[in-house]
Amino acid sequence: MDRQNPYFLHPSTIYVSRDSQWIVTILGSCVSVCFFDTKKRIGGINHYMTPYWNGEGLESPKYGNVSIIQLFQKMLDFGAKKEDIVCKIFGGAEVLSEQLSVFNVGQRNIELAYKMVAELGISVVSSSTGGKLGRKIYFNAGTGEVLQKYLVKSNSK
Amino acid sequence: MQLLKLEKENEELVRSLSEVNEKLHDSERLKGHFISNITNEIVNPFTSVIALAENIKRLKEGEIPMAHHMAELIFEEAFHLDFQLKNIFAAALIEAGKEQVKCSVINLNDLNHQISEYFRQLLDKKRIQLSIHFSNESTENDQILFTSDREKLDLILKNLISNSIKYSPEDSVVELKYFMGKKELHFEVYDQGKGINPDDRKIIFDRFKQLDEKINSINTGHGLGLSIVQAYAEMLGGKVRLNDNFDKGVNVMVIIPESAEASDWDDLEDFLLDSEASY
Repeated sequence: MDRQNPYFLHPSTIYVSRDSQWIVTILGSCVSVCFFDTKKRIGGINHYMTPYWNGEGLESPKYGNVSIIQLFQKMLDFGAKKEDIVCKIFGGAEVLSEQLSVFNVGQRNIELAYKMVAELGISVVSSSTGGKLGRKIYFNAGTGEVLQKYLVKSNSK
Repeated sequence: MQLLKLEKENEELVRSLSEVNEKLHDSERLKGHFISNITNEIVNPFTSVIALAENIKRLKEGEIPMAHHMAELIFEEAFHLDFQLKNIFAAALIEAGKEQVKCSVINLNDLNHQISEYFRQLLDKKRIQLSIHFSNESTENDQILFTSDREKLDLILKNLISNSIKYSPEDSVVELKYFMGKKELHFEVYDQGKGINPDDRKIIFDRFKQLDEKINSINTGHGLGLSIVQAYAEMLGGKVRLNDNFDKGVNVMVIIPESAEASDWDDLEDFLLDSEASY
């Protein structure tokens, strides 16, 4: 799978792979955490929309606290070792959406990512978070590389 | 003055925190309840199906009308079981973050026709009329095309219609209305049921909550339906709104934008955020 034909990661989903495969996702106030095992070359990425599951609806990776744990668990299932995993964090822009009631969701998504990754004892090697613009990121699961593009037209995802 | 305000805020926060706590506690309890229940929910219908089939086998000549009736019962048991399993698997995939969106061009008239046929027996049994119409002038043979995930749209519609049939009185009408907006599809499902109790409105989208608990009835489902409708609609970039018209019934409106996953990689001035050399 080359960069012209990447795997599209939808919101509320998770993807882990051992192959050198490009995964693309579009982030507004949502956040993606990318994990990469530097020795075994296993990469995984999530895309969550809000920080905490509050007991409503399905307990899905739409919620950061569910999503990050699931992504980490999946990395281990693929054979990754906790001490070899590094992390990159993206997204969490202040995108003006119709849902103004969702106060500061971008910022809260970012804070949750840092907090949970720190609790897992994994170091963050790079990040691009916050600001006012949405992002399109390409993550290569086999190399850990991330390419990023700011979106001029903000996307409320 | 400032202190009073802070105290009030604090009270508010404590209250909402304990509400969430209670919900999580509830959820755990329900999960356990659900797992044990599911055994019954799956085993019981199967037992009925086996028993009914046995009975049909033992029928003597001239008892064919009995066989018809039993076959109808088998169909009903199997239909509900199949529908419940579809929902259970869908919920499991959503919760595992494994659901993918696969878009294709859907002919909505075909989809509607299939859905009507799917519910035919349930509708006939309660003499409910399923009336499907589009806001624009179109006939049943027109091609009304919309790009989205067919499987997800199908399960959204089936859950809404299944709920409507379940809560509708006999001899009533369930309506499915479509409006083709600009690059988005609106649809609403109306029933003439008894509406929703106001206390229940908050929990209607929660999983495993049923408003009308009837133990030992296989027709109740697990209350998973609406939580799947909401999760799927969100995955497709859409929204769900529920209007309760009390004794005039309930209507649920879903808005789904048309999918277009064109890759614009070539137009991007991307930059390498960091290379593997940084490891």
